[in-house]
Amino acid sequence: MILKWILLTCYKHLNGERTTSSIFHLLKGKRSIQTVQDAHIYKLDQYYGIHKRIKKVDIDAVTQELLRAGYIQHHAVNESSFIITGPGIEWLEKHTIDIFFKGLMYYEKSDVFLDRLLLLIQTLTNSKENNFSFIPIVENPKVEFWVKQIYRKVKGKEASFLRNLYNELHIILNQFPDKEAEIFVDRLTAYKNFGLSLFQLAEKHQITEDDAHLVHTSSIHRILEKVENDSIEFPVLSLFLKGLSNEMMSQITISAKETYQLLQSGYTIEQIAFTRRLRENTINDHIVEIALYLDDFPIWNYVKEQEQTEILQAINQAKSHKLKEIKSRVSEHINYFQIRLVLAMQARLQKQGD
Amino acid sequence: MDKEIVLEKELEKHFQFTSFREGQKEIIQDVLNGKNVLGILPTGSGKSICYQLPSVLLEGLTIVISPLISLMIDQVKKLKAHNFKKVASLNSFMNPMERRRVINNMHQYNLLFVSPELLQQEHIMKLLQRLQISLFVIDEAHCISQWGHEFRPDYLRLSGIIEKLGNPTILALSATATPSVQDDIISSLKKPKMRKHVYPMDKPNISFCVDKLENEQEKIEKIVELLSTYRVPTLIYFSSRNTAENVAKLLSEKLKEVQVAFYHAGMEPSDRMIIQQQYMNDQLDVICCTSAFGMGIDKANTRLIIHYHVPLQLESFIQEIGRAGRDGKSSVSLLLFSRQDINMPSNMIKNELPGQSVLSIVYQYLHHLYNEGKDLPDEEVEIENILQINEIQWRFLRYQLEKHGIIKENKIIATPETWKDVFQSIFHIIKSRNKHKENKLAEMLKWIHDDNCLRQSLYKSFQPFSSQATYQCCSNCGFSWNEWVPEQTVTEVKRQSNWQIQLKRLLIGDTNETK
Ligand SMILES: Nc1ncnc2c1ncn2[C@@H]1O[C@H](COP(=O)(O)OP(=O)(O)O)[C@@H](O)[C@H]1O
Ligand SMILES: [Zn+2]
Repeated sequence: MILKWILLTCYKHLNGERTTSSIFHLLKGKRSIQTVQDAHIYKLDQYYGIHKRIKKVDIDAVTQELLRAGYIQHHAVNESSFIITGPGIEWLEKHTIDIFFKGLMYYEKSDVFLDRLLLLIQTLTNSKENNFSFIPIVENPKVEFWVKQIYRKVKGKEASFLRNLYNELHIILNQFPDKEAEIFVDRLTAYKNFGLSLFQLAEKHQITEDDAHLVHTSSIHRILEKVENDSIEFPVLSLFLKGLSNEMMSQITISAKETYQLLQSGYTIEQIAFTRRLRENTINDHIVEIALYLDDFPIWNYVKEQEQTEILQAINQAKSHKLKEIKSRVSEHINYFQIRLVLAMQARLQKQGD
Repeated sequence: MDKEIVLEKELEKHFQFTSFREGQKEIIQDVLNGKNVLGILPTGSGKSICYQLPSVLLEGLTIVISPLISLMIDQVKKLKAHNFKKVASLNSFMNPMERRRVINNMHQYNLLFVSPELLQQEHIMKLLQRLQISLFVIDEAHCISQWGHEFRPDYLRLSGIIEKLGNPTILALSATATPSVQDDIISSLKKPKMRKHVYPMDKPNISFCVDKLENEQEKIEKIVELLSTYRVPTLIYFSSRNTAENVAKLLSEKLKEVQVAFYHAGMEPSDRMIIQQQYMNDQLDVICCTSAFGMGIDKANTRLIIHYHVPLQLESFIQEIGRAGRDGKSSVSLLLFSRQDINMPSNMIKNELPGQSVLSIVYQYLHHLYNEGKDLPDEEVEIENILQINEIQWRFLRYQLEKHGIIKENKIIATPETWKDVFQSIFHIIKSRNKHKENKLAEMLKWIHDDNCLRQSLYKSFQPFSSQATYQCCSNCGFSWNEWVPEQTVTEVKRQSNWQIQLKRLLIGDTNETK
């Protein structure tokens, strides 16, 4: 039901301009410029990376279901994309689902936060019982290191730390839909009590594994949002966020970062392509990616003021984000790279306006 | 005499056990004295202590070769959980960074688990050659023997590796090895003077039952009936992942009280770990699993082991039922057989090794590369994808092609004139291997249909005599379910739907105060 709702929403936003694969990449959080850019342009950034283990077959199955129900139909020209139908829009309006995602924003943060939380709870509840031989639920050297450091400070005071953590979680979870709170708690592992696997959660709640995963992700994103907004009220949970940032640059691919540094030292696109032994098109991709994140991106270096206006007008006329459509409406000398930069800039500005 | 006292003290100091189990001390003494040893000890008897203790007592590094990466990772985790820090593993599943970390810290470890493929890599061998290797352990040593049930070609290269490492002391361990497999192990390792320590593998506390039924439906009915009578830790073994999943779902629908889960190698590692740990902590009653479950899991009170499909050989069967009743209390093995099952195992055997059509595809592919003057791709996965074969099939072929001098690492080194003969002989090897497995399967089926005592016929090819059953013997000697009254274990439903109570219970502990 939740995956169905999200897919239908994606199809609605994409409006036949992208295929089902692009939704797959979006939900999986593929680290490609195209995917990140699509997330922005089509205002689907909240869903970016919310289900990193999703399988293409599951998405295809739900898509077929939507098709059979008449909520989407094949795009007239491009057989592999879909458009939402009237009944589809009605269905979406009738079914509101209570979930909360900030996918792109919490892309890295949510995993680390969750791993730290799971492992610290397991460690403290065990050490409180003097059990030091347990199999850690999380295997990640960085998280283990972090937990060790906290453990050193908390040792001997486990009970009071856990009570404070309990109080904070209780306050936050109380504001959640009951089912979501329950799923969050069911995943926790403590002394002699291992959390449920996704399959078990799905079975218990009579939902699909994908939905169980999505509800769980939603609960993490909600917690992050609450804690970030009020770190004073939630000192213990804030601890789990130490050293993690939402910093935009941290979301840019490493390769694009390198390009960015060279750009800042005054290299031209050609020079960067030459020194990095990459194609110019790749460097262009990097620049578009950077443009999506940097508020002070110097777009005029690449697109003149009046070219920008022309492209923006074309976008409005075309009522589409398809590059071909836009290109056919602007002067010959304007290239795809310039159009993509303007689209990126527009997406960034719109998001801030929201 | 002096030494014995010391050994016991060391055992207690490092592992908190007060005495050795049968066989452990004899093996450890020989190993410490630099003797090469072949140890055959039944599952659950504590084979790992036989190298873990020497690894702390001996100076230098103990290397353990283990066929299954998941097993290796489990072992390392368990040791680390018991504060055994100087241990690491090297396998092809680790990313380069993790591997480098282990390699850079190599001198700090006492105990290193390595997968046999990695020993083929020159830089790893170079590194190991510089270290002092005090003990070389081959776990699941039956994999060496081409007559063993889990034949792994990369195990055949071990004798060369051992030589390159300067002939350290060898300890080969297995839970199931017939006398002919034992001989094969010794001769492949080229150590004719190896000392054999062979201990009986029969389990007097397990009763054996074979139930011949008409179809799947009846199997399910039987299982439901048993599980509604007996609430005991139970493993149900399947040959197919799908069936394991489906039956698990069915059972949890039919038996609301009983906590059922499934387990197979196709699951995410983290999910596998969760299921294992829940079973260990008595949160689950029943696991529907494939042979992937059980290795390295030591739960003392598994009471009932059901085989839903026919295992391919007695060896696997013996290993799987060996997971029941490690505490010595009365436990039951039940094998469900229906005539419809007969085709499934033969098909599985046929698909394990490449068939003729695969061979000719490989031939053409190599020919194509040869003509273009190209090497094989670096990534094994890429080759497997191009040839559309699985990892095991490709590993087998790679070994054969290397052995026959057609390829060396990624290079094609022979001219095509010789290939025809080589492929012929590879095809013969496959045929004889399949034949061997068919025979093994026939043995298994013969056991199922045996009218004599099942216990005696099960063990007769492994040991000269088996001991009396402690409890009921077998379905041919008059087993009756009515007389089997194991202690019922109650898996408290630890997950209830009120999250407030649940959260409190997890973080603060059981408290009587109502909120
Ligand atoms: N001497 C001993 N005393 C008590 N427990 C032991 C002893 N040796 C081993 N064990 C325990 O027996 C269990 C099985 O050991 P393991 O080495 O995993 O068995 P195997 O590899 O033979 O199946 C482990 O829990 C181990 O800690
Ligand atoms: Zn008998």
